[in-house]
Formats: sequence, C-alpha cells, structure tokens
Amino acid sequence: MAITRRHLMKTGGAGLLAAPSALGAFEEYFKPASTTAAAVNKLITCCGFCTPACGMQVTVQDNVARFAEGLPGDMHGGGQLCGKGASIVNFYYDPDRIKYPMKRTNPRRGLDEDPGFVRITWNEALDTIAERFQRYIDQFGRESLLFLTRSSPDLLVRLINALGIVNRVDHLDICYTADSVVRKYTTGGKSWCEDFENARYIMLFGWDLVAKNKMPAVKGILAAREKGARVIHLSPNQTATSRLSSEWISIRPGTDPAFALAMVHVMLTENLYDRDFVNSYTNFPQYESQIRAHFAQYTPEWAETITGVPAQTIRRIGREFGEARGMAPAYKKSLTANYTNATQMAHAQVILNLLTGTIDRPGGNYFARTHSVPGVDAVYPPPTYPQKLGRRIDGRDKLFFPTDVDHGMFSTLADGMLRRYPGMIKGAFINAYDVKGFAQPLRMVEALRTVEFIATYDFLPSDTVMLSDIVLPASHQFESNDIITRNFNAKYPVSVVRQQIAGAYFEARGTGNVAIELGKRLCPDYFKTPSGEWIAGGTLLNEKTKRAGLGENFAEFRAKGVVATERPFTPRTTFNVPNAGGKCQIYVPQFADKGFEPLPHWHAKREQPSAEYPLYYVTYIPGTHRRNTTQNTPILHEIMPTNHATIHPAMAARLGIREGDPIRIRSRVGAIELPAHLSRTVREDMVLVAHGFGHRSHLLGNAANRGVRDGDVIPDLSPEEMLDLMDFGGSGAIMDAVVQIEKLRS
Amino acid sequence: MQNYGWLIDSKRCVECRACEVACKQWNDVPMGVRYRLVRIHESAAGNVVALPGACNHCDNAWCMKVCPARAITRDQHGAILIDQTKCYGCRQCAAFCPYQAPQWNERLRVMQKCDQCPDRVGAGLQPACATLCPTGALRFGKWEEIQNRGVARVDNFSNPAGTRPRVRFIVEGFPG
Repeated sequence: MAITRRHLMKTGGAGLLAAPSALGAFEEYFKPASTTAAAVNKLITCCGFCTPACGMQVTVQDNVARFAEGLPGDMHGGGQLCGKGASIVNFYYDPDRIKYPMKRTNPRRGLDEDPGFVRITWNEALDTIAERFQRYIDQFGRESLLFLTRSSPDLLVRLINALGIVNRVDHLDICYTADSVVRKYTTGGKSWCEDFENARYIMLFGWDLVAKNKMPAVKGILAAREKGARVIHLSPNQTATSRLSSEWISIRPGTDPAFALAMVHVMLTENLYDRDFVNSYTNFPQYESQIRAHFAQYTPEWAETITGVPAQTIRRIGREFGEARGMAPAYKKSLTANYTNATQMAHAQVILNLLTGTIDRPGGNYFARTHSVPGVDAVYPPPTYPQKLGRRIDGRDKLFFPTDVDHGMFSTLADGMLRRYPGMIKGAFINAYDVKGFAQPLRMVEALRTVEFIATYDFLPSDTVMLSDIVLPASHQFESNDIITRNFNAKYPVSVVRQQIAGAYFEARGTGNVAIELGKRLCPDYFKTPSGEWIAGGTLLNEKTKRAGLGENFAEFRAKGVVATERPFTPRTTFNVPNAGGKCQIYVPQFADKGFEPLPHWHAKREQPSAEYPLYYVTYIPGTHRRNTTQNTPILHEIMPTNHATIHPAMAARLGIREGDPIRIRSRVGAIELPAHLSRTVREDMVLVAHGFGHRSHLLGNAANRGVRDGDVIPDLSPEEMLDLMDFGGSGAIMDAVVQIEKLRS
Repeated sequence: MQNYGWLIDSKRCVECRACEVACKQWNDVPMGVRYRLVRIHESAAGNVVALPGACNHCDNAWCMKVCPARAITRDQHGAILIDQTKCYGCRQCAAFCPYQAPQWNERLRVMQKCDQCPDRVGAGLQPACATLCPTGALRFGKWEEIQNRGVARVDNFSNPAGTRPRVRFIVEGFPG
C-alpha cells in the first residue's frame, strides 16, 4: 500500500505547534507523510483564490498543510470548496514559487530572454528599489512612477499616497468599473449580494458565475431552483450556468443590452412594474415622460433584429420578469467589462431591478452588511499627503466617471505608454499582475520594455516577473494573517479569520511588510505611529480587530475563527446616490451633465463581424483555474493543462476542420494557433477560447508553453476610442473582438 | 459488513472538479493517475451531462475475478481494493473494467484505483470526494438506502447489468 495522508485520521487534535525549521517544513510536504503519530490540527481560514473567500479548514500536520476542506456552516462556501479552493495546498507548495529576492543580470528584456536572475538579500532589493524610485521622482517627477496594483492592502496605498503617485493603475476596467459607475449614480453603490434563495425569477445576462465555480453563486442558484424559481441564462455558449438554469437562450455576443432594453419596454408599456417601490424610492415620477418616451423605441421586434432571439421570447421573458418581480444579478465581468456597450448594459440591468423593486429587498440584489474594519489611515492618521500631480498614463483623466470611482484602466495602459506619453514611465512597481491579464499582451510587453526599471512582487515566476529587474517573493495566504469580511451573502455582518497556517517559508514577505520597508526608505514620516515608532503589521492588525469589535486582539479573533453579528435584515429606505435626495435614479442627470446619456441607449459593441473577420471571438475563464494564476498547480494542470478553440461542428465541416486539427485564429491585431474542439454548445458564428494559458516563463515547470494567450487577438483601447463609442463608464472591453479562422496543415 | 454506494445527481454538477482535487490531495495520488474523474459527455443534439469516472465498487466485480495475482479483494465496507504488494502490473483489471477505473502507475508499475477512503469511512466520514462536492452531485451513503433512490442505467454509462456497480442516478429535474 502506498503511504497516504490517512494516518491523519488516526491522530487526535493538538494545540498550536512549535514551528520547525522553515525550509524543512516545505520539503516535508513532498515526502509521504510519516506514519508515526504526528500531531494533527485543523485550522480555520478562508480561501484566497477569489473574492467570495469561502471558509475553509486546513489539516496541518507538524506545521505542514496537508488537506483543505470547507468550513461547515460558512455562508459563502456552504461547508464545501470548489476545485480551485480544494487545490490550495497543492498551489501553496508549488516547487516553482519564487523563493528569494532576485535581480536581473541580463540587460536585454523580452519574453524570449532569460533574465539571468541571481539571488540577493531583501535589503539589497529594497534599497535598490528605493534608490531608483527616488532618483526618478527627483529627475522626472512623480508621474514617472507606475504602480500596477489593486487598491489594497491599505499599507501599500499609504505608500502610494505618501509618494504622491498619480499613476496607480489597476485592472478594474476589465472587471467591473462600468458597473461601479452605474451603481454609484443609480442605487448608491455596489449591491452585489444576491438573495437567490428567495428570488422567483432570475435573469442572467452573460453571468457565468456557476461555471466559474463561485460558491455563493452556485449554492444560490441551486437553492433558487430547488424552490421553484425560474432562471434564464443568456449566453452565446452553453455553460454549467446554462445547465443549472431553467432556460438557456443563445444570443449574439454583445447584444444583451438590446434584450434588456426591450424587456424594459415591455414592462413599461404593459405596466408590469412595482409602482410602490418605483414611486417611493426612485426618480421615476420626476422623469416618467422622458423614460417612457425613451423606451418606446426599443420594442421586442427591434431587439430580435439585434440579438437574433425571437421577439415573442423577449416579450414573454419581459412579462414573466415583471410579473414575478424578478432580479438580474450583476457581477464582475458579466457583460459589464466585456464590450464597449457595458455601461448601457449595466444601466439597463439596474433599471430592470429598480422596476421590479428588488434593490435591497428580499429576493433581490442587496447591499452587504459588514463589520467596519478600519484602514491604516483611520488607525494612524497620516501627515497630509502630497498632491498627486502629473499626467495620467492610462488617459483616465479623459473619462470623468472612471476617475470618479478611482478605478484604473488596463485597456488603455499600453496605448498611453507607447503612443500618448512614450518614455514617461521610468520606474514601475508591479503587484502580482501578469501581462496575460491585458488585451493584446504583446503590446503590454512592448510597453514594459520601455520602462527603465521594473520591480515585481509575485508568488510565481510569471511572464511579468521575467521582464523585471528586481523580483520580490510574495507570501501566500497560508503565511499571513488578516480579517476577511463577508461581502456576498451578507444579510448581517460576518468576518472570518485568514491566518498563518504553516509558517513562513523561504524568504517570502507580505505586501504590507514590503510597503512599510519601502516607506521607511522613501517617506519615513508616513510610516510612524503617533508615538513615533515604526508602524508594525501585527500591532496594526490587533488595533483593527479591536476597533471592528471582533476581539480584544487578533489572537482572540483567530481563536474564534468566525464572528457573526446576527441581526434582522432591514431593507433600505434611503439610498446613498449623490445629489438624489436619498432616492435611486433610473434617469441619471449626472450622466447628462457630462454630455452622456441619462438613459441607456443601444450602441453596438466596437468590433462587428465583417467579410474579413466574420466570427465573434468569445473567451471564458474556466472554473478549474483561477484566471492566469493556477496553470502551474500540478493537480489543476493535470485536469486542464491547455486551451483549445471550440467551434460548432457545422462551421468546422464547412472549413474541413476535424477534432484536434490545428487552426489559426486571426483578428486585426494578431493571431493565435491552437487545436480545434468541436461542440454544439457554441453558436455557429463564434469561436470560444479559454483564458489563462500561454505562459512563456520557462521557470514554470508545468505551465510553460502550454496553450496560447487568448488576449493576443483582442484589440486594446484608447481613451479617445472609448469616448467615441459612448463607453463613458470605462469598460475595458476585454472580450470585444472578431476573427477569422483557417485550418493549418496538421 | 456495511456496504456503501454512490448517488449521482448529474444536473447538480457544475464541473468544479472539487471531487477530483480532494481525492488527489487526500490520497497523495501522483500525476498521471486519477482515481476520480468528472467525465463530460455531449450528445449529438448538444446536450451535455457530467458523469462519474471512478471505481463503482461493483457487486459483481470483474476486475476481482480476472486478477491472476489475486491482488483484488473487498474490504469490510464493500470497497474493492488492489493490494499493491501483490499486483504485478498485468493490467487485466483495466481491460475488463467497463468504467476505466483501474489506473496504471508508471513509476511503481502497478495498478491503483479508488478504495473509497476506508480510513475516512471507518471514522464515520464521507470519502474525500463526496466531502468536498459542493452541490450534492456526488453523494455517498449506505447502499441499502441508495440503491432504491435512483435509476441504475443512464446514457453514456456502461450497461450496469454485467458488473452491478454500486451507483444510482437521480434523473428528476428541478421543480418548476
């Protein structure tokens, strides 16, 4: 018999264990577990792969993580995990992870260049970064530095603010910026919790969170179906979401806004809306004549010509939705980032929810009730931050609304670095973003090649890491402590601990620590407590825990694992919409004030099929992988090692393509070559390709050179194009492409 | 002897592969060997269904009958096991299994497969795969309770008449 984990069952629980030597514990993972009665413990934490952060328990044996499973009773995972979450131990012990700070010795920079990394000390790495960044600020001004990072953790944001960095760019335009803009001015903020189990009719516009294995969504739709709710999935390809739905409607890619506008038309003309809610809580009474006149044009017959869905189907669904007081959940990248008409999609979607009166009501979208965990600036108020002066490299300053919600623009960054302000960026700090996350990644590689000095903080040696001058080893969630508030199923506040599971290995450090150390070197006054000591991450976390009411200190919170503050759900009666008197807005005067449309109009997405490029190009993120992060994780690599091009058998027959034949997909900006997969789950006018593959970094033992980058055929954007296309909400149009395909000789 | 079996509700499977990952992680299954698989079948009409690919611990286990080394036995929970100290890698079991359950371990040159996590079951727990399945698509329980709960035969699943696998399928849809 092979020796397995099974002795874990035979041994009892034990208290917290003494830490063994760091490297020993890592290496221990790769050996079969010992058969002696080793101390076994189960620690509570929550998954770090995606934002729902499902609760998990990790079995730890002698300080080595062995097995992850769900946390019973958890309101996100429901006591289980998806395949990604279950693989977290395997991901953590990836032998290819970055182990030490490194510097580049090969001055030539490119995807085909070996950087010649050599190990250096943390002090050398941090000193080098600080010296370079200070030099660029002195010589070229603050606009010469680019921080490619999300707006977290708070300590990194403090560093960015203290340095007066104008160019912090994140990926939210290809995620949910348009949704954020629309919701700010219609309902007063993100209402991303969905009360699926009490919903009677659920309208999914390209929403594919079941297939992406987001557990709150999976559990929610299952609960809804069990209670008899109707679930309608609009999608050009059939996915696991379609199969869990009552009805899948195959729609032309990027035409969902037309479907939604026609639904609004039906609900208004047949008065199938919640009069009490609409009259009491929205500005409908004030703008009723404009609203009715506007939607009169969007008949189901008109929408049929756009979407390819029969008018009678659209009319039926509009009626059913109105009569059942349906809800239409929105979420990241659910058509609110895929195409240039995403702002209109998000707006129409919110209007549907407002008409049925399901915003912050049972059976609808509601606002998360969370514990209030203070950031570092609330705990240790900083000196006044310098003004952020300089040119915005992604051109966001041309678009009022994305600036208003402070989201970055991946889609226009390369254009800014290569065309608008070439050479302006001298130094860059990249926080775990891979070039594959961009449309046209090769253009982004070109852009990064124009930067004099790149420091990258990452867990695995990604393609971005291979372009960098200094590499900092990132810690895994198993090596750090944090407070995670529940944001998806959050009718009352619940916070879950994220705790150190198995010791810190090699020389990995947390982002907060990196920010503090760079802060000490570059802007020390901002990294001291009021009593003049350096800010310390542990002390800060204790203070946050206390102020959030989760415990006297973090250790106490950790011992609890989960803190829930149960209280009845009280629906909102006033909404936090700017200058709207506490009401929601269907008609948005602020959009009109800036020269845009106060009600959603139909605009075709940017790329339309043509004689040269006759096919829609659709991408997806497979549930097996976490975007472009887990392709190297052995277990997940084995399940899905590469991507292929899925096409309909009828189209394949016309082109003489058989299963597995190599084909070339070409758009106006690039081409990719990959094997064909024939399936009737896609439309005849499209090609479907999975995102996340095509790693070139030879330091990734499993993932290197497996599959292709889906983004190579997706054109990126310029701010001018976005304005021309009425993309004022800042959608990065990460799926907006049309292509041709040809069979290659096998 | 308490016999156990598997209850499959394919409509609930969202292809997350938590079952596959949990199995590999709990049992230290090496790369190239997969005790549990989610097999996706697409019909000519484009209907897609997820079916289990794993040992079904058949009542009439052909693998056990054909093994020349007598390495395959049944344990006290009804699970079919391969004793790897006796297996010499002739692969007869794989040739006769209608469900492609026995897996060839190239490095050890023996057959391996799902053994129904006897340590977990012995401790009153579900096997790793069923523990992690988030939707209830894959369930495990006492065979006397499962065998009358669903149908024995579904499309694309090898005819159960021969080996009598301990698996049943729920074929009813959602209400409404």
